[in-house]
Amino acid sequence: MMKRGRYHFAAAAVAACAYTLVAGYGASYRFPEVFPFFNWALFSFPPKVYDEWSIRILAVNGRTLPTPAWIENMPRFSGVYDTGERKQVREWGARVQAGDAEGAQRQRALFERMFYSARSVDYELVVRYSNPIERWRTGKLQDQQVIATHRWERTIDD
Amino acid sequence: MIDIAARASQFARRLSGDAARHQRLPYDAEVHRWRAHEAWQVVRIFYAVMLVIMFWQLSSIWDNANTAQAVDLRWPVIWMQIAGVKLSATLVLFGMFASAVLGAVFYRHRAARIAVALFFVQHVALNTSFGYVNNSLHIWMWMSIGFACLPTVTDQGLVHSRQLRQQTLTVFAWLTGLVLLFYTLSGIAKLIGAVPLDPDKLSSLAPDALAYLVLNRLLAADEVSVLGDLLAMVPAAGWPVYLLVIYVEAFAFVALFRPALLQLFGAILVVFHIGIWFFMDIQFPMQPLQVLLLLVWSPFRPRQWNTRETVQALPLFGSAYLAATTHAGNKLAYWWRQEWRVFVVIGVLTVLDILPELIKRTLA
Repeated sequence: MMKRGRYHFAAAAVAACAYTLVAGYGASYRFPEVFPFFNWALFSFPPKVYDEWSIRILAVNGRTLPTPAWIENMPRFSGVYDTGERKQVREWGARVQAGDAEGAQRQRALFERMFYSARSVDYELVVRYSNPIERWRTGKLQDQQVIATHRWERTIDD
Repeated sequence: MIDIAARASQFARRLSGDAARHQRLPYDAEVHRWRAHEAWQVVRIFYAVMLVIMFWQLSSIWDNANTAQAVDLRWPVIWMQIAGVKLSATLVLFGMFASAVLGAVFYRHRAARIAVALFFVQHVALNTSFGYVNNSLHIWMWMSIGFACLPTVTDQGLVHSRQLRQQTLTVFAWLTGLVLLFYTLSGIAKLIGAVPLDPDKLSSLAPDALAYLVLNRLLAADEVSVLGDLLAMVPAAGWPVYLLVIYVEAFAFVALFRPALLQLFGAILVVFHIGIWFFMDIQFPMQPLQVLLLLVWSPFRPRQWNTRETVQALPLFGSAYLAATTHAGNKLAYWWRQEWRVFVVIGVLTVLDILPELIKRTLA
């Protein structure tokens, strides 16, 4: 009994090290984890800059909007643009920034499913920079960049 | 030849701190029975709650079933490509339902617990197949896997069989260690964040670190929270809270070797998880419950709360307190003798955690 207990400590040490290594690998290569080895790095790196990834709609079903509209302000899409979709856009932006073209393409495909109520959508992927405290207090932005312009069209498979 | 297992065992015992706590307590059948009884109480509550979770998650599984076009399947659910996500997720839905009912009724039978774990892993894996991390059920999933390893028991068996009790407590020790490791990894990430390599990041130890984190999150989610405005007005107001969280998380793993800490750390983590709602408007209903089950109600907790022992067990501070109040010799040397193993454990885990990132940066 006692001997077996000793082996548990050695096995537990190896298991803890292995979990940490695999979880660290998942965090390092970002998407999104080596399931189920989540790395638990939550709210650990306070960003000085709030980078707000968002979608600006230019045209729907071939009709150009009078002024480009943020997706969350468009009644047609705002109902389905929820926490999950926001996370997808943020993840998409993170991959663009990391130079992960394949991952960015996959995120784009995951995100675009929310357009299925339309035939086509022309939109921009935009990032807006601000100091989070200033942005919260006054709404002030520091910078804004259009990262990419895309057209989504419904295919027969959709 | 070096007996690695013996060394590991000795190191683990000495992690517990002062000399009195190194000693192996003699086997006490009555205490052993009490611990096993407490453990099975936890198991019973777990499967009762699992039934509620299943009911609460049914609509989520159904939503997943109907989002068939847009998934990036994790490996446990890769088989869903064959029959299609909609049909497969519907099967998981019925499987979760049946296994959760079985688990709640026959929680003492390993077969029922294995069925619960199998279907729950499928559900969690599908939940993380939509392009973003969804970790809300991760610990619960690991608990279901751990409890599936418990033996089949009866009341009589638990009273009479030391082996059954020991198997139960061994599973609990592994699970408790795993969950404490998760918290330690979270704390280590925050400690790594104390020295930001990226100029766009703030040190996690900066007085306004929590304000930046909270407001970033609230802006990203387009939410408001009870304490969000306070942090925007007085960014340093959250500093003591965040420092306490970093300390408890980073050293959580040590509580596995200092059971006097289980209830204190558990209570702080319960408050922390509920507190996240006050700051960030994120609800973690499962997390406080997990901490209650595995730490606050741990079968390894002392049978009676002892404030003095709890304070003395605190990583870094407990030995400092002992050195200052009772130790007559070199106080710093005494403190170091008690705590260097803690630094080794946290140090090794930190190196392993950042090693892949370091290799990636070096290769790039």
